[in-house]
Amino acid sequence: MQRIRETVVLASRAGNGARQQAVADALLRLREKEREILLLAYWDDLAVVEIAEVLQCTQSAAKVRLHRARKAFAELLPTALMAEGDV
Amino acid sequence: MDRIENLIRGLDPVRAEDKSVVEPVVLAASDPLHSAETTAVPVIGGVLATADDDSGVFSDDRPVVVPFRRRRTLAVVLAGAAAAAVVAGAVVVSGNLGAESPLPAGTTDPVASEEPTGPAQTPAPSETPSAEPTTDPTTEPTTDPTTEPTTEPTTEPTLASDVGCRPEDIDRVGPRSDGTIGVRDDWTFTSENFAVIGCTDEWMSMDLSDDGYQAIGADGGNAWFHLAKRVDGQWIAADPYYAILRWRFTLDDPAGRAPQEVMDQQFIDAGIPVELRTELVGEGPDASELWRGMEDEAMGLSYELPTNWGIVEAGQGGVNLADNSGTVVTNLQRSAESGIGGACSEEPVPWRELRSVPVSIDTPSGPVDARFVLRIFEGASVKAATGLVLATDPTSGEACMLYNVISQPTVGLLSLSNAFQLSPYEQGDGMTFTSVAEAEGYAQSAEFDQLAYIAESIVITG
Repeated sequence: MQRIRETVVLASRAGNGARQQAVADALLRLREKEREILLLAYWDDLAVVEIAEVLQCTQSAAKVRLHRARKAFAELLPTALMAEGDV
Repeated sequence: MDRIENLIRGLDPVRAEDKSVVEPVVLAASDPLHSAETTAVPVIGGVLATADDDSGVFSDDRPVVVPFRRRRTLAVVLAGAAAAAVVAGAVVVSGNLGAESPLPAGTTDPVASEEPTGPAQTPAPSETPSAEPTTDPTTEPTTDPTTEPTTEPTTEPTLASDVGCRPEDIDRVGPRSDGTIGVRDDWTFTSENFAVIGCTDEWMSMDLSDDGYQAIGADGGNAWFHLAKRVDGQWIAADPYYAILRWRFTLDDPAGRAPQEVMDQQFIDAGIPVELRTELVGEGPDASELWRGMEDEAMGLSYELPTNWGIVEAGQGGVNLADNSGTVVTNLQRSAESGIGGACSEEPVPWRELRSVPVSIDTPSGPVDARFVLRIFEGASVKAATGLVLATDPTSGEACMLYNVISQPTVGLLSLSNAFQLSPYEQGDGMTFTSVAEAEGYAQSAEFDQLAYIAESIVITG
């Protein structure tokens, strides 16, 4: 079934710095599914079981998707940003 | 909080504004293509209802998207706002942008741009032979326009270029019933049967519906994307680019290539520019779509497995997981009771981890931090094993045997390994490499990554 085409824009706070812009750029460059699960996890604070409910998948699948999304996000971030901490 | 989590949370406008007051949640109304109205979202069981992203409309019958404790203001805008949002430094959360779009951004809309005229082969009025052509376009013709020309034109009239991407404009070129090669008059393209899914200046891709497939009376299965190429302004469908296997036939490549690689090779073989792949046939399945969920009640766990992998009975317990060639790659076993025992008396040998991927094992009592690793003993040859271990387990040391297993009260005894016990002295367990470099190559392989994902996917259910 074709999913709805939607674009949700959340205006970020004024005065974005270069770091925030880099993070936003990385998020934008992710696949939609990857971005979606990262925001569910880290903006909406959903646990894996809740993410699985939202995405209508198993917990196992939700875990794997989150894992992949984190990896993809890390690869898109500037090295300097990631260097400040571990993935 | 880890680095990635911290960075993403740092961008959260709700956190940034430090809003402790609950805000109303507003979502766009039904049709995002035509409406910018907003409606309140009802609260269901402590959570908020969300858009039904499979139905094409927002409704109340799908679960949760925003937890009650994290109400936020959401503004849903039309797809075109994405670019503006980027300029403004905003974060855009989009649904299936591009990949499934029948008309990728920046390409020609076949409906909106096409001219409401008849077949493109009809010569344009300006090409109608005139008894006395004139160079002044404003001058009225001196002869009755209805008068038939008395002389035949000396040259073939130039065909008007096909405008936009319309299946009706395509000529199917191939072997005809009389044995010659040319435009097949037994083949017609209609928008009813062929849906345009990609459109560029030079290429048009179409999806033949199953009903259309039946109507055409073709055989061999409805297995292809259909492509046409614009040649001298006219849409032509000819081999070898006319038929490209659909994505689902790229999933189980014997050579182990990703679906996108298989599709790219089809494009190359057909002479279609590879860089147009996404525009013409979409992004293809992402990695998560190539996995399937598995439940094992006997072991009390669930996990994900690549769709082209299988399960083989394991004599030593649990299940063996085999790749698409049928080769057993690892063994998965679990018992609810933890505890391992055993000893070895040989001289300890140095060992270390060559690669480690952090994973978490979900249990009814909460997640347990773990690692999926490749451990090696270095000697005349390199003995190695993949395994799932606790995050707190050592990463190197000396031993005469390694247990590649988690033994912990909430997890029980859990092993995902090709050697439950790895000994530098035994033969036939684990893997043997000729060098550390060779082992490192395996540690960076797609197979190791897949095993790590399987490890990450494990959820203890009982």
